[in-house]
Order: sequence, then C-alpha cells, then structure tokens
Amino acid sequence: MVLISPPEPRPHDGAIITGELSPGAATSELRTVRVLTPSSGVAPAEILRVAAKRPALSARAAVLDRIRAFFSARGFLEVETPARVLNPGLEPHLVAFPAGRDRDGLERRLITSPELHLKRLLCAGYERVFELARAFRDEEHGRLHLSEFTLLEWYRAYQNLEAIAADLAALLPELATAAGRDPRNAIPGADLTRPFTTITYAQAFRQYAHLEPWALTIDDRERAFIERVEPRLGCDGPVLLLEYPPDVAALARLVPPSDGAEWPLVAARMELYLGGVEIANAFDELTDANEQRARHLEDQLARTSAGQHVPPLDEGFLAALAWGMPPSAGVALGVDRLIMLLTGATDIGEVRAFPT
Amino acid sequence: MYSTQEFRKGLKVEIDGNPYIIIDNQFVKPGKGQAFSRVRFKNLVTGNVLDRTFKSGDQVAKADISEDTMQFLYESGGDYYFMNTTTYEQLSTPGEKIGDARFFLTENLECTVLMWNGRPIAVDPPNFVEMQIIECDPGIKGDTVSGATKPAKVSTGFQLNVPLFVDNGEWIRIDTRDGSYLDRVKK
Repeated sequence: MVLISPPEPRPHDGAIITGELSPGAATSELRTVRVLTPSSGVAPAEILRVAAKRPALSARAAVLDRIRAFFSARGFLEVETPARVLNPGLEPHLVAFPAGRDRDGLERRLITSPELHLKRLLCAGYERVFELARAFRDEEHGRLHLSEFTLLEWYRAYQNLEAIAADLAALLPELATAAGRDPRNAIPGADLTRPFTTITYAQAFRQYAHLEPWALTIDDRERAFIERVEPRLGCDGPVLLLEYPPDVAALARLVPPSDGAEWPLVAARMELYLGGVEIANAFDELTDANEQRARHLEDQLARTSAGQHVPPLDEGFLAALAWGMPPSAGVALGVDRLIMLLTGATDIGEVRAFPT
Repeated sequence: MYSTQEFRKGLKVEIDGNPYIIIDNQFVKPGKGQAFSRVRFKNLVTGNVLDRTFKSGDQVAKADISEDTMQFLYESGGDYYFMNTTTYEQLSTPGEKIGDARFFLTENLECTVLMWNGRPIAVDPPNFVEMQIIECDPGIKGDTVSGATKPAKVSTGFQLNVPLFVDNGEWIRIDTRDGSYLDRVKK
C-alpha cells in the first residue's frame, strides 16, 4: 500500500480575491472567488525555501525603502543606468556576462558596476546621484558572493572621501533600525552609532600581518591580506581602510601617502569593513581623462595577457571626462552583504529571494 | 586534477602525497583584487585538519579514492580480513588502521571501505549493528522505565551501557556513530 501524505498547507490556502470583475459586468458588480486550485501535495523545495525567507525579505524591503528616503532627504537624484553596456568595467579580475548585440551589431555585456555611466551624469552636471543597481559578475559564488547582486552607488561632486565617510556613518545606523535591529548591537562587536575608526592599508598590514606590504609581490601581498588582514578588519567596530597600494587604484586618484608608506603615491581609495566583511568601496575619483585612458589601456593589456575577454575602451566615458568631470567622490556599497550582516544571516543567499 | 572552480565540500584530493577531503571552501575576493579559495581539508588517514589558500585557477590532484562495499570475514592476530562483494577479492588491514569501527565488526557484516591507491584507509560499518552481549549483570525483569543503566560487554569486547532489563546473552542494536544502545532484538 502506498501512503500518500496529506497536502501540506500553503501560506495562502483559503485566501480569496474580492473584487474580481466578471466578464461583461458593470464595474460596480464585483465577485468573490476562491483563488487556488487543489494542491499537488508536495511543496517544491524552492518554494519552501523562499517562504521561509519572509523575515529577511521584509527587512530587505525596509532597508531599500530607507536607502531611498535617506538620499532623497539629502538632495540626491535617483537614477537608472543601462545594464547592457559596451564596456562592463575593465578591472583585470572581473568577468562580465555576455548580453547579446545591440542594433549596431556591437557586443554588449552585463555591467559589473554602474560606475561608468554614473560618472557621465556627474560630467552632465548632476552633482548628487545615487542608483540601486543590479550588478553581474561571472565566476563569483560563495558565502559573500553572488553572481547577481545589488550595488548601491552614490556620488558627490565637489566633495571628497570625508563626505562619503560621513554619509556612511549616518546611513548605517538608519539601515540597522529599518531592519528592525538596534544599531548599537545589530552586528556583534560593531556599534554602528560610534565614530568609525580609520586605518591605512600599510598600517593594517603592519598591525595584523607584521609585514611591510611594499616588500611583497602582488600575489604574496594579496594572499597575506585575505589570510591575515581582512578577517581582522572591523571586528571591534566599523573600520575605514584607507590609502591602497597604487596597483589597485582602479578609478581612484593617486595621492602622496600620509603615513610613511614607501609607495611614492597611494590610491585615494577607502573601504568600509564590518566584522571582516568588505561592505563598501569608495574613491576620490580620477577625473583626468588622459590618465584614465592610460589605466584602461593597461587594464586591456593585463586582460589580453591573462586570456580574458577584452572589451573596447569606453570612448563615451573618456569623452565625458575630457569634456570635464568635477572633482568628486563616490562609493559602491554591497546591499546584500549589509542586509546579511544586519539580519544575522551567515550566507548572502539568505537575503535574496532567488539567489543566483 | 580539480581546479578551484570545482572545489566543494566532500571533494577528495591528494596533497603532498596524502588523501584529504574538503570540509570547507570559502570563495574570497577582496575588491579590485584576484579571487582566492580558502580551503579547509581533513586528512582521511589521520583526521588532521589543514588550511590552505589557493589562487583562482590553481589545481589540486584528484585522490584515487573509491568507496567499496565489503564483507567483514574474520579477525586474526590483530589483522582484519574483508572481501569485496563485487570482485570477491580479499584484503586485510591491521586493526589500529580502522579505528573504532573494529568494535562493531561481526562476521559477514557489510561495510563501506574507503580505498586509497588500492589500500584500505577507513572502514564505515552500517549506522546500526546487531551484537550479542557476552557479559553483564542479570536482567531485572519489568524494569523498563527507571532509565538506570549498567555496563555490558558485547562479542567484540566493546563496552557500553544498557538498560537494567537487558540480560546476558541477549542481542541488542547499537548505533555505531556514537556506540550507544538502541534496543533489544529478538533472535
């Protein structure tokens, strides 16, 4: 005899729609109808998983609402930039998904961040913009990585990293509250209401790895960073890591170091860490079109020699820079990671309905 | 060879001439940097834990490991003899190599034997085995509720605690994962 277990109750069993229109009826004649067909009896695993995520997804929605309210209150304009672009970002370690061809037959890719279009807006005179963008990075999967994730980026013309640090310090406690947590202890060991501490990259290396970072090859330095430095950052409260080595400047300006580092110039780059997790990356933006072109050419060479896809230079972006970008600071914040920490989740997939 | 993209929990690999199983694999990629995998392995022979960091794309050798179903035949002079139930080949291994599993091996018991380069490195008995008690105080009839226990020895010399009502010579079921008494079996 085969025993069939009774159908599992569904969250919406017994729900009814009131107000459905019957065909041909006047709009005032509303029907009440039962919605659901009989259950097949077996709940699909995906449906059970997503049903169990309701608290996380509610916190997520509240955080997204608060982000919009926060920036709107500060005079930022919310914008949406394209997801399919000619140049998805040239950084050597990013892998962009192909996204078909456009009307001119040119190959498009999904953005790895909305950065290059947001900066065009700065050039066009939009002084404060933000975007909640979906970003796509192939070959990134893990407890802290999804190949499809949400990036919050915001930019301030005529301001520097200090303004971004102030934004972060004001934003994070508000988002903790929105997620239903006390900002003083939402993240173990990291009181979000206290002033963020700062440390330079070189100081962090000396303090946690007992190494001079410029004395190492890039490979050894990155290995030491992930093994010995990164896990310690932000474990006693939010930390801003400053003055990155010049070879990982990406789109940041280069400036003289403040701390006796032996690099002639360091990147005006700042990362926010909470509990060993990288949450946001900010730049004092490079605005010099010639230097930007030179860095992009270098990145193209690096991608070529690594056998990676080499997108064309983003001439639209370079032309906008050449025309004139105001001195600006901008930041990209990993929304999923922050919600993960704020909700006490241990895997980034727990805070997206359908992680991919 | 496995590349880091294929790393996942449970994968069996060979490092520095030893067989390991991946017990944790973290993808790490600091902003603007290259990707790494921070991997925690367990040595399948010694149980020791090893942490290693790999650059994305690094490769590790596959371990020549198979899980074969084998029947336990007998023990002689500290060596344990098994027969592969598919090929009927026989092999033996010293008792200390198979750890606590040897306490649960009774004649003809089917086990999973982990083979590395043709050598047995671990024996997994079934989760539940039936064994006969060869030594314990007489059973106290009717006492099925008090929860009190007494020591008992089974045919392999393994000692465990059993309820007071269990009698010498009776057969019991044992959970091999923690060596605990489960229930009595009528034989």
